[in-house]
Amino acid sequence: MTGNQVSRVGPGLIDTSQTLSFEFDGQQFTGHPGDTLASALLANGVRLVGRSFKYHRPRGVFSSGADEPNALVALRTGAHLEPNTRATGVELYDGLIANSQNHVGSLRYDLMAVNDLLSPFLGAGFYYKTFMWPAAFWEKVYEPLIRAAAGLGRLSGLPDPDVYDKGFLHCDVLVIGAGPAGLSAALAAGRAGARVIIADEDFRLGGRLLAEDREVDDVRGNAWANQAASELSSLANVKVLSRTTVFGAYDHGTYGAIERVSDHLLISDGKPRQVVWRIYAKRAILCAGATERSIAFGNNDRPGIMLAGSVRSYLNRWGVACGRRVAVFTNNDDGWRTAADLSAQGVSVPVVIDVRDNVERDAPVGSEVFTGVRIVDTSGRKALKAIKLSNGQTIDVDCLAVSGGWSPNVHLTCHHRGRPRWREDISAFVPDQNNLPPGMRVAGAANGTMTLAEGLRSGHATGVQTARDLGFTNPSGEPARAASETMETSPFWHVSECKARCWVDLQNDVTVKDIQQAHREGFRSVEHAKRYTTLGMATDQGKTSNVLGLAILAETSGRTIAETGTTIFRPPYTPVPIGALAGRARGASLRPTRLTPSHDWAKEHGATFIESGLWLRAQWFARPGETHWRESVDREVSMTRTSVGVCDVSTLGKIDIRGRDAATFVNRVYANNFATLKVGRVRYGLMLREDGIVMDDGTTARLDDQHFLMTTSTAKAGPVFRHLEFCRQCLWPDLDVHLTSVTDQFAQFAIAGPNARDLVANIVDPGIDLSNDVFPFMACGDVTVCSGVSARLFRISFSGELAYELAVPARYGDALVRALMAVGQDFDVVPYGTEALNVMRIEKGHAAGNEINGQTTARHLGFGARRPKTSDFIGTVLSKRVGLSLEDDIRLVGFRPIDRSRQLTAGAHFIARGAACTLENDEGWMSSTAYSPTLGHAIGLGFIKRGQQRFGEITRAVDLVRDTDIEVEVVSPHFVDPDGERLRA
Amino acid sequence: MGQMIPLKARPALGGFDVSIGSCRLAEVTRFELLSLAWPHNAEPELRQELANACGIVLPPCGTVGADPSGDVRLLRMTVDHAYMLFEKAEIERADSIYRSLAQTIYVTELADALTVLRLQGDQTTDVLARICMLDLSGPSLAVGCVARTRFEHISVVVAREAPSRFLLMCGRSYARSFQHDLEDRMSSVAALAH
Repeated sequence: MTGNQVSRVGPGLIDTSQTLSFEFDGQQFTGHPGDTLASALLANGVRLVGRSFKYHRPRGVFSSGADEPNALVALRTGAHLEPNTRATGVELYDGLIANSQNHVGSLRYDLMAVNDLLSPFLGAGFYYKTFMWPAAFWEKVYEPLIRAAAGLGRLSGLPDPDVYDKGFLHCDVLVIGAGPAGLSAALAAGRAGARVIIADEDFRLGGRLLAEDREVDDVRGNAWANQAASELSSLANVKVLSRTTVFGAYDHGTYGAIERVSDHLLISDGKPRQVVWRIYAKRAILCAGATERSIAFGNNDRPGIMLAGSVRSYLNRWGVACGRRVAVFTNNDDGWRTAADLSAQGVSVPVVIDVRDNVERDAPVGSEVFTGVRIVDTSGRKALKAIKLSNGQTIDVDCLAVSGGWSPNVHLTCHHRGRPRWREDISAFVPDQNNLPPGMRVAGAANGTMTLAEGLRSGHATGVQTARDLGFTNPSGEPARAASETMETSPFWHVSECKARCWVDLQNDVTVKDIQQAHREGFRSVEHAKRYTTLGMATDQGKTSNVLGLAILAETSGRTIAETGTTIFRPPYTPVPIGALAGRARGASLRPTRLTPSHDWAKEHGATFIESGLWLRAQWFARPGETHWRESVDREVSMTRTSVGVCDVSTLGKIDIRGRDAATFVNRVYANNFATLKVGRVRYGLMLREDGIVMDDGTTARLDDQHFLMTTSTAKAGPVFRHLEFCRQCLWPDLDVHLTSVTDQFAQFAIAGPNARDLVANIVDPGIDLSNDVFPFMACGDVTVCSGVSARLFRISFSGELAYELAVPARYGDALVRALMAVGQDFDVVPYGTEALNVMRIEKGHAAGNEINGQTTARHLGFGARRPKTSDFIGTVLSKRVGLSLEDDIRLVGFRPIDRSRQLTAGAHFIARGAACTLENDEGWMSSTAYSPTLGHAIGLGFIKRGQQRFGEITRAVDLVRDTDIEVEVVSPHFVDPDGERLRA
Repeated sequence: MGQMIPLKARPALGGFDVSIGSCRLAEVTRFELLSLAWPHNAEPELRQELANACGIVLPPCGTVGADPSGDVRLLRMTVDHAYMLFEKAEIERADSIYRSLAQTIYVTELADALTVLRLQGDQTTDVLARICMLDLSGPSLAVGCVARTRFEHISVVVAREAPSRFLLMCGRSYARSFQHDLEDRMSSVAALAH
């Protein structure tokens, strides 16, 4: 024992040969490997570790595990700070820094402790009642004040510098918990040959065996646990995950687990801090043990009042006496075990108080025994000093070990909405075997089997049976043996004769009175009472308090506990950091980024990029001296329209369609006719959903009789491919059609402008005739470029200019853009980005995503006047609905401001001059706007009722969001080259 | 003028090759890849054509067949779809086999659509367990098996060539994100091995 570890009375299971230093609230302490922060603080005599949530009452360590409601600390500092960490679960390491939280001023002298004096005004649901007047104060005064006071720890506010991984594991049998039952189950299933994963939240396997002075197979329990762990680790078919909490049971046999990989290290040295595992298990065996609960009596929250089983844990596992004079208060046999173990190690146990009458147990030497007696009050502001009994006696103690019985940890059995059932004989809820998550079994204390001997047997039997169910029949050995014990308990929830407040939920400062008050105010359902009182909320989720609370509610309402029922649990079992759930998917890695073949070239040439779905596309290419994006975009548009521009359009979806029935298939998925499309030609296609709404548009080329190449918009590439596969596989499985996504196969560049033909002519190999006669508008064909590289050339235009799209295998994409720009120097070629592309398509009146937004039909887009297609296609029937065929329906048209200096905004709605801005007067909306450098003023595309009949009419574009109201003229959507002379040049 | 500027092919990751810890991740820079799809009821003809063209027996779905050299492999994905991968010297045969098969089935060149990486080393399965949801110890991904899955949000074809060697194929445009994701996991596993 080193330093000031005044309460260390034995070696326990820690390594006392090494000493670790750590800091709590700025004070230096020492501990040993194997300690938790809580055990080390207790060893150093630290009793006060935190302040309660609402009343800021002094609080000390209450338990020894995940159920801890009090000892929540802020661990580490700076950006690594993690508030609300349970000191009972923090593995001690050299250099650990922790601080108490939820106080103003020091921990000892917390100014917010004044709340305790105001407690008569701060009872259950006070915030629903107390701050009603004046109403105006709620948002400005009361709510900010309450929010500032609420919560426990504070986040650093800095980006989390730690690294988190996620991963996937598969097994036949997942054993959750490595106590006596869990180890037995894993051994049985593992020996039988099943692939087993055993996970335990502790850094050492053994569960309660580490806390008890019991023998298993004639050796001390912790030694047997070590042997079992060694055997499991030696089995190739078993994976042992310590420091791993299975926090959720999800659908189809999947479980969520978090492994704390480097939380116990001062420096992670590149290791991830935590890993969230998704475990796919054919079967699961829940061996999560049980949690001890308290008894509510007057001032039962003082530092030094602890759960009896935890006092025993600190003694046997960590060699820590939680007090010099420890009293025991119990309603069951297990409390007596704590008294015996303390006494055996020389700790004074002046009194054992059992609420049961006529209990005959061997009392420790020197202990006075009271049966049928209760504790009614305690004293000691910052640490327990004395207890007062119902018989009037006051006894000086510095620690009180309380045992109100044990509650099986049924949490994961509830994650599929299973509701546990009440068992009178053990006064606890146990899993309903008929309502477990599929594939799950429960063994040991989690199933209500409260003795060690039975726990070992049930774990083994469940492991054998589970393995057998899966066909694994190798010998599993015999179950481990332990002596039988008594485990009688008598339900006793709270001491009714107390005058002081009796605490039920230590984390949320919920008292017996709060629960009774909730009932008086009509909260009869346990679910309602929970939310009204906050019982069982926050980080511990009521592990020590839920049963106590609902038992008091049952008593108050005059019903049984079984009739009252219980709340059930949702994932996670214990808190999981958001960072761990995110894993690597954060910042720039939130999702993958798709890069175009010309990305590196674009980056070299000053491109500003924009996210377009997953793609990163060049938005514009700023030249030196250009200070505003509009300068760059205007230049790109102007130079393209006067000479030639190049744009990477590889992001457009490209779907290769082959098969004897390919033509039939394409004709059925498009609303317009493709049956007549000739080989070597391209046609614009409009694809509808079943409901008649436009899904996407694009061009499709016929490469040969049974071979088409469809293009889609960038955004809809995935959905369209999925839609086509649905059509192919489900609607028309008789058609011989095969689809292959070739989006990434080709680097494709649009070459647009009056000099496009000349530029392309200098790229394709000699002998390829690009004349209008041989290769007219909407032609396509195979060519070779730059000395024999295979390519495809399409004479199509989105910009409205004479244009081509040239596609080469993607490996040549970078080289091709460099070649185009080099060859194009003679024509002042300009690269243009998506912004210029958008301006030019608006000038030309081409619809894009803004117009095909899931609301519009072919008629809206102006395709209604075309000759109707006679053959069936997706959307045929529902596009003929009356509502989609109205003569006064909206139409896509163009708009220009009357005052040419005004900018237009997409999203503005059209309201007639003089009309009020009401829904009734809404005639449509502006879908796309741009400044047209070609025309020298803003232009827009939009949908307005009877648009095709209203050219020349003046209306208003009203944008209430941006507070603009602009008079606009309805015009043709084709602002540039309305007759198509340029693109057919 | 076109012939004056020859186009130089560029692998998606520029021939990326890195070792971290006990694992090595390398881009396969020289390969050809064909997508094969066949008409209804055409499997007998395909089997015959495969035997004639390259001596490969059409493998069951989810498995990989190979020619005698082992460098022409057929990755059977579904009942009517497979990838044919050519490596090393066998790349030269891709064009002739393409032409031969195209007479019977639908063949699409895909070597530019997919980036191929090879991951190998003692801790390969530990690396993949951090990104691949498939059961790496199960029969569905035993040696000689192939599956389509996703790593994070990226669609991937994964084939197991040896107990600790995997072939990974993803869309070319995703290649850098894919490389980054794998390197991250390799770094984690390497750090944990310390």
